[in-house]
Amino acid sequence: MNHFTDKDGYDAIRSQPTWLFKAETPHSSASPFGAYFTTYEPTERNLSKKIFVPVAKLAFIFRFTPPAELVPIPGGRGRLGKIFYSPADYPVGRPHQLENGPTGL
Amino acid sequence: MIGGVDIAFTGRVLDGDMDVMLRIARAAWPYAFVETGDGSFAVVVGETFRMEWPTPSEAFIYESHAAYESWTASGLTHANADKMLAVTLEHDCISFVVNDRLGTTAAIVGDMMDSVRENRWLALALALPRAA
Repeated sequence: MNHFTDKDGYDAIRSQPTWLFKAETPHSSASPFGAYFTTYEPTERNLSKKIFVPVAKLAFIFRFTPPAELVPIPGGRGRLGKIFYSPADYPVGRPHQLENGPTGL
Repeated sequence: MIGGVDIAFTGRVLDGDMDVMLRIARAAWPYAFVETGDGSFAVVVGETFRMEWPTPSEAFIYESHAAYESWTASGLTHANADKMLAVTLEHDCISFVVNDRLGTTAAIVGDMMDSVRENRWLALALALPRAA
């Protein structure tokens, strides 16, 4: 599972031994409150268009194995197993952390 | 944070569904521009009419070539947010992603679903055996 973010988000999350992905109010009121994740890889063509984010938000990645269940978002991208969320803050301890760093995007 | 709102339109997808949706897009956006999901093909909407779209397939429909360039260079911005919609065709579902449920793109998706629904009924009616 992957979480993409910008430099500020990257520095904040990696500053702690346990990564904490904070639940937030999404841009659209129709989407559920939560912390969002994707199975898309940085190499996915047109990634920013597929997840509707600025390119700058794809600059860094956290990759992990989910320590607790994540919920597919309602609709197509959830149905296709591409985007998931946690309705509350989502901590990822060291045993589940795989890698983090710049994506080159 | 991941953006966009997903709208799923379930039901068996017909060969002509994408064509219907692209014509609705052009009615709303006369200079609409279409790109395949993998970015390998990008043309003005008129050139996609009668094209075959296999299932599964994915496309982005933009208000204009300028909107396509903006999304390609910067991804989502405040200015281009409501100038692109994403469509994914599966065998049993058409999935859309728009910026917001109340925006221009959501209204276009609503028109697309109405027209596809109507076209499917017409196709079904034409396929029924006629009474003697």
